[in-house]
Amino acid sequence: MVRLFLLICCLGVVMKVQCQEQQTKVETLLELSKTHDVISLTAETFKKYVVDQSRQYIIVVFFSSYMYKSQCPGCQALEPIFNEIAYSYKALGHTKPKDQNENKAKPVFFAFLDYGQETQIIYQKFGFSNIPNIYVSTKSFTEETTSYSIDRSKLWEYRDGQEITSNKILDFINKKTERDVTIQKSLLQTILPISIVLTILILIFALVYFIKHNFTSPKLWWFGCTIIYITCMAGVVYDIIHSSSLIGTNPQTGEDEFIAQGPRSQYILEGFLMSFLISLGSLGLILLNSTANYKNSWLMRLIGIFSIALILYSIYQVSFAYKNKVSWYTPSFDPPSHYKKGGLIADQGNSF
Amino acid sequence: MESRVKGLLESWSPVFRIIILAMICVLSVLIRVFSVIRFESIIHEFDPWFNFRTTKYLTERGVYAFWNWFDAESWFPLGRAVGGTIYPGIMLTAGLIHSSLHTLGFPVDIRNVCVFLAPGFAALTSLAGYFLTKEVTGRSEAGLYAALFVGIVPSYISRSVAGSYDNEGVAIFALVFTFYLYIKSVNTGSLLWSAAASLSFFYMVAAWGGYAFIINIIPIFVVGSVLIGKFTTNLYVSYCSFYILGSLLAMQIPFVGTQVVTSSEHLASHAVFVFLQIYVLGDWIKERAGEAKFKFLIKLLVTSAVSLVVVASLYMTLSGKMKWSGRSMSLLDPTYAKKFIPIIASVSEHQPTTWSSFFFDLHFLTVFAPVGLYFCLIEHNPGKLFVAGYGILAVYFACVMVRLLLVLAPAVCILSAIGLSETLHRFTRHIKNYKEWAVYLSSKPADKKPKPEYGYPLELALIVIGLVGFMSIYYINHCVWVAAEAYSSPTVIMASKGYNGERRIIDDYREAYYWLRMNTAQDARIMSWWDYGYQITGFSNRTVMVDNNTWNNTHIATMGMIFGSNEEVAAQNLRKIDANYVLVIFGGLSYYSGDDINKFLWMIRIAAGVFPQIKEEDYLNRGQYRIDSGMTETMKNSLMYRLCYYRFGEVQGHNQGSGFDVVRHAEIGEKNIKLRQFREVFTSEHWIVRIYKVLPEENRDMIKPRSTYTSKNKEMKEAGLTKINLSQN
Repeated sequence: MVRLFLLICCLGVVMKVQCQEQQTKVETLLELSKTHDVISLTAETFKKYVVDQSRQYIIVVFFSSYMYKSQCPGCQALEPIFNEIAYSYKALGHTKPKDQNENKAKPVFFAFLDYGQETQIIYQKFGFSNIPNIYVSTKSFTEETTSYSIDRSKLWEYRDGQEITSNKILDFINKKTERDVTIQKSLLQTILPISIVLTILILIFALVYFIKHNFTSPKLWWFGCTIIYITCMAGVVYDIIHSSSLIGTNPQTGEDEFIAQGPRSQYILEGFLMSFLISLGSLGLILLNSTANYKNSWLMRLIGIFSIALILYSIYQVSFAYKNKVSWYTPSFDPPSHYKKGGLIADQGNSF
Repeated sequence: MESRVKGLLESWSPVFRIIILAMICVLSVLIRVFSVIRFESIIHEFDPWFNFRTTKYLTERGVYAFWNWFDAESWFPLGRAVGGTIYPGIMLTAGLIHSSLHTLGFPVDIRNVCVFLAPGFAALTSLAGYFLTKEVTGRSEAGLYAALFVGIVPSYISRSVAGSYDNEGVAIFALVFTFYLYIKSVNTGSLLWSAAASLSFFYMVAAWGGYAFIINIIPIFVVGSVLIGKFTTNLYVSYCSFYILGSLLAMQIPFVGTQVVTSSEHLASHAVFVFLQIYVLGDWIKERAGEAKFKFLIKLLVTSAVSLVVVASLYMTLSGKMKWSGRSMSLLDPTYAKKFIPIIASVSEHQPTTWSSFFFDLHFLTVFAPVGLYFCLIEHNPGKLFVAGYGILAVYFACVMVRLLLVLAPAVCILSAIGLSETLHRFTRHIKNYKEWAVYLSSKPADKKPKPEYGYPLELALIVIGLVGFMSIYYINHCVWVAAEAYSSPTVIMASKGYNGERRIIDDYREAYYWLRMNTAQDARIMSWWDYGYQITGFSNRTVMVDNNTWNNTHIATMGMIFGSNEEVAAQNLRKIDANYVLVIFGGLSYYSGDDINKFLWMIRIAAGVFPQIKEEDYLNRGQYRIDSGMTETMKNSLMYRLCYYRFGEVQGHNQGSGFDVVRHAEIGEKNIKLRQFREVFTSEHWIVRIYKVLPEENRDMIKPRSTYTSKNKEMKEAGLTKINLSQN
């Protein structure tokens, strides 16, 4: 009888301890999530919070790497989306414990596991061949020597070439955590576009205010127009949309390549250089014109020769670069030497 | 003696001018007829075929029938109300020319009118360019230069070669002419010119959607002029009358209609009209109240207005009432469209421009234009400011989208003409004074006279003129070459050059369309991807499901879904939408890369937006689009793959194995394709066009072995209850 009582006492103590343990885990996570939307995990804390028994919360783990971020377009795309979702969950109060027995009401935490020497083994046990991945862990799982006993349906794995959209990821996480969360934007993000617009407007006004006296000066206007002209001619919008690199590499030789092949592609430096060369030609013509009314002097002659050289250099360089770029561009009307010669019928109008 | 020669030349100069202008007009027509000489008098590309078909309808049935035309031959089974959904300008123009030629007794075929309409209008555009530049600079040699440049600029040639019967061909003329008339009205302040400008604007609205450019650039010019203190009564009169008349006239086009009031494209014109009235009112108040009081009033008004706007926009953003739409976001962030609207990013005409496109389409004009810009701003008048503003805005737009190079071209031509003529004007003055120079140079150092007034070294002046001449000639050479080689292909007929320069003509499209016309029922419905819709209705006179007027995304997505699903599902859906034939374009045998297999991914993407069962990943093997043995099962079973490569496995390639696709450089993965629901009825000479008939439903598809029956049968068999002959069957 006494034994039985003791046993019950022991059990009670054990359960209470367990409960307390649960309670402390949730509390520490809650504390952590107050300062960070996404909690960084180490191999130890991963074991404690994600793998180990007895917990009453859901934890969403994001597997990615800080170190290899630059080589991993998926990680770059997923990270802001994941942060945004984590923020939305927190903003809507899903991190607060309400009823710990139902999945629907369990608190949800978001965590991040960096790939490194210590955590490598966890990645292997998950069987990942690729990053980034997301695992929604609704209950603890057991650890075996080579793998985890995880619910594969709650795993989101990245495949090459897959498109990552905020909606898809949110849908996945919502489904697995049995909630209906929509993306919440932080105050900063809501104000950001309008503040950008306002700053630009204020800057423009400030600019106008400072150059008020020279505002109608045609030279200033011409300077502004030329800058717009050069930037547009350089194909800046193309560079931004296709995120071109400054210079490229030749796919065959692996050497640096300054001029992209084909008329439909370009590098940033190439665009600006060519547009600048074109404007140099114009500058030469303008210089010539502005010296034309000077009285005869050696300075004028010097500037004249310099400008002509400038124009010739500019048009030669631009035409040369274009011919290099577009191989079929040969604006001449003499048919190549191996073509058939003869009358209109014989050579089919090639020399026409 | 010298003055007599000078006088004689001056009195003859109008004659020279007219002769030169006439020659430029002839040149700008002739440079565009390379395609007719090389191929034949035929309508090009895709959209022109629709325009041609509607024009034919117009000439056969008359204007009212055209206006009320409900076209049942396209967008089956929805149909399309043509009269209210097109810009009718080009059709009406061609119809008018056709009927007036017939009244005069020239029985010209409507096809020839349509083919030669764009070159004719190019001549008119170069005239309009002449007048605009002459109005702006007041010098006719600048005008002549502009006429020459506009007439042969490659970017304009690309849209107006003979046979390219499209809206842009007439619209560029209307654009330049409207600007000329408007500048004239600003310079004279006359209501008559203003009214003429709005009539020309009306023609532009009738002809092309690009009229939005005019209705934005003129208000911007007006506001700019007011802001830099160049407000004049002339400006006020010309803008107000142009705005009121132009807006009212624009509403008369059914396709535009009330958009004039509702769409944001017209917003600038309304705002500037109100602004002008307020400005004039302010002027009046200033006159009455005095300077000091007026300044105070302005300060009060401006601060309160600014703070009100800031507070209101902050409040509305925070409370979520004002959402930033995709369009305004893409202004802040150019990558927005790429991230969230992939369809927009996919169209090649909507790609942003690279420097080489600028150079190819404008050539040395890109070098000349800043010079013109310089003179426009340094020695400015309202007209020159207008041209400069037009140029800068157009450069920005052209940088965002390749097709808007067309709008930039006239501006660059006019700017270049101003720059070049100014340069020539300065340097020829030095040559005119050659006599003084000759005297100065030959005289001995002892009795040197003072240097001549225009003191530029003679040889340097000659070199400069030679340089300008050389650059102009090089530009003309480039333009002619481009017109002859790059922009004169009708795309319906393709030509390639052999090693010895002999031409090989590939005429598969017309062969197939003619087959359709002669061998199918009058009311047969042809299903194809939307690119070929206009051509099928135009060439073959048959009903199509979708065409190049992409107004109904769901319908197009349905076609994509059918091409993407397997044969059985596709056939069922094809029967549901009542299609008789399926037409696919396949270039794997003849190096034709613009075929349906290359477009297939876009079909899938468009279909995926509407039908959730279509997923792009299913067609890609680890992110790669493949047709060889590494392709996915879904790709292999898709209707598009099976129709394109049907019987292709039998073809023995040159140096390669059988079934080698020369466009994708791969041997196809499935060589033994059997079709159950389709029958091949036509394949063109180079296999480019393949047509299949959708077979009627087979009877035995209706009886499917039911699982209960088979399991029962099995049980009976095991129990030995079935008769032997039954089980053997």
